[in-house]
Amino acid sequence: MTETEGRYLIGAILISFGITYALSVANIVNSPFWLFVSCLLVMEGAYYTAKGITLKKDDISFPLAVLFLGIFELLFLFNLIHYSFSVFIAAVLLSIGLGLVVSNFLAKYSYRKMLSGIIVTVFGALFAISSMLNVTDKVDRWIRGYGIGILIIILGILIIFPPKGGNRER
Amino acid sequence: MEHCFYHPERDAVAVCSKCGKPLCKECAIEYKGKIYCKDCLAEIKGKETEQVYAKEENTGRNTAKVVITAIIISAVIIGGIILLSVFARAKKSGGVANGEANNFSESKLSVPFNGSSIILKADIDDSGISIVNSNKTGRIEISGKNTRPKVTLKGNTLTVSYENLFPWDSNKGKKITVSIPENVKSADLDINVKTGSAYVSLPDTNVANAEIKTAVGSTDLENSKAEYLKINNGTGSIRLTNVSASNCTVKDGTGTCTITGGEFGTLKVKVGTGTFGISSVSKIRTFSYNGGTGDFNMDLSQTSPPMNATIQTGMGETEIKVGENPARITVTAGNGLNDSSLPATGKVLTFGNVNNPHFEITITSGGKVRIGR
Repeated sequence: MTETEGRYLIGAILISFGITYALSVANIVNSPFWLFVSCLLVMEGAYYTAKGITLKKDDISFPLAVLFLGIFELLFLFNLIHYSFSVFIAAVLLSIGLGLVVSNFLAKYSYRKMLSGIIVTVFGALFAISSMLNVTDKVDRWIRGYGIGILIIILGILIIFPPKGGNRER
Repeated sequence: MEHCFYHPERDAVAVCSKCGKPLCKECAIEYKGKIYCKDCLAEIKGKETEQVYAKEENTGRNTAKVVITAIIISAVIIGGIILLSVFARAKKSGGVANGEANNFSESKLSVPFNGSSIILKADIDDSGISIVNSNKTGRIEISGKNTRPKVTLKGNTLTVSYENLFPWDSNKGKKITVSIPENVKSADLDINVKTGSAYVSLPDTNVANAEIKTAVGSTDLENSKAEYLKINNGTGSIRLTNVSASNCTVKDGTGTCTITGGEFGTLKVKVGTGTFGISSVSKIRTFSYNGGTGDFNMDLSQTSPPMNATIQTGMGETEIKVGENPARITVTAGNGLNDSSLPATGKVLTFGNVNNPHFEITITSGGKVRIGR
């Protein structure tokens, strides 16, 4: 960790704490701990994303995923999305998937990363659809059964085939 | 022999690799594997220093750019979400603010309860209780997230108290009391608890429709009466004690389900993996049960006939006690009957005079079935 990163982290902790304290005192949120965590995730995710873009790094999918996760956590906390465990799993998958996809536009493009990102995003979207929307039992069964099964098969195929020009067996 | 450019009296031993000046031993300076005169070396070092300064300046500019960008992005996201939630809440509460609460001050009815997660907004008038912004009339909706609401509707007073699931939640021990006008004879109750338990008590009150939904907690309902009662439980248990309903639907995921006392017109039960027990119920007219892997126990000794029941159980054991009541029971059991002393005639068992009001029960079970008085 560089000096700037360290100073930013301390600053982000204090800012997150300040936001949490203010909103808790004003009775706007009732889970201060998670508000603190999500503010910190957003601030750190934003920092490393901005750094990756500025320094033209090859891959910024991880900080983007952290940023998206922080955003989802905030949406849960402020009741803009109703929290449930399966919606949380959907949020994690969507954060990772969107992180991989968006990274291709802001940093180096990778076909493999794009495909993985789309698959994980679709996974998350399916979870979200079946958890959040009032889908019929039949559709829900189809999504949770065939839909996810097909995606797992695609992911397996993707792992079996090595990336173009890399990972050659010696 | 050439002489040194700076010391003409001395012989040159080398030449500057940049300007080609002859240099004596003292004037020839080696730098990065090459020989330079002092002027050229000063020029080269000066340029390098400038480059270093330029690089440092560039890095500093980048750092500032990164930090400012990160702070702007964070501020936009966090601020945007907070503003969005404020607008969403203002929109939700707008309906109540416009509604006319005849008998109560608005502050009692529109309760932005100590945070964002609990909503109890009711507009009460002579015709009943309504949630203004839900487009449903005659309903009280209580929803809690990360809370354990305890709801008591006794006489004309509805009390909701909250206990939080997590120590960092700040609603602990809070209570809302809403008094219902005496001329309101019945109300609808809709309780939706996202992650906690619901403890509901409705003594001496007729609830027209009650719907209780919990995700991972348990549902405990005592001394309650409802025209229509629907309970949907996720992973916790359901316990109904002295509950009466004309039409009752109970759906339980993985927990146990116990019904003691009360009376039912129609009772439909669906249980996942837990056990189910029902006893001391004074009356059930129609009963249907669909069970998963758990055991099924039914004690009808204190229940008055007639009753029509369809029972379908999974791998668990099924046990039914009919008491002194007449009953005709048709059994299809995976592992057979477990009591050879029964007056069995094939798979149809008969107890007492079935020409009188009696229990007509059909059982389909994957496991063993035990039937007795």
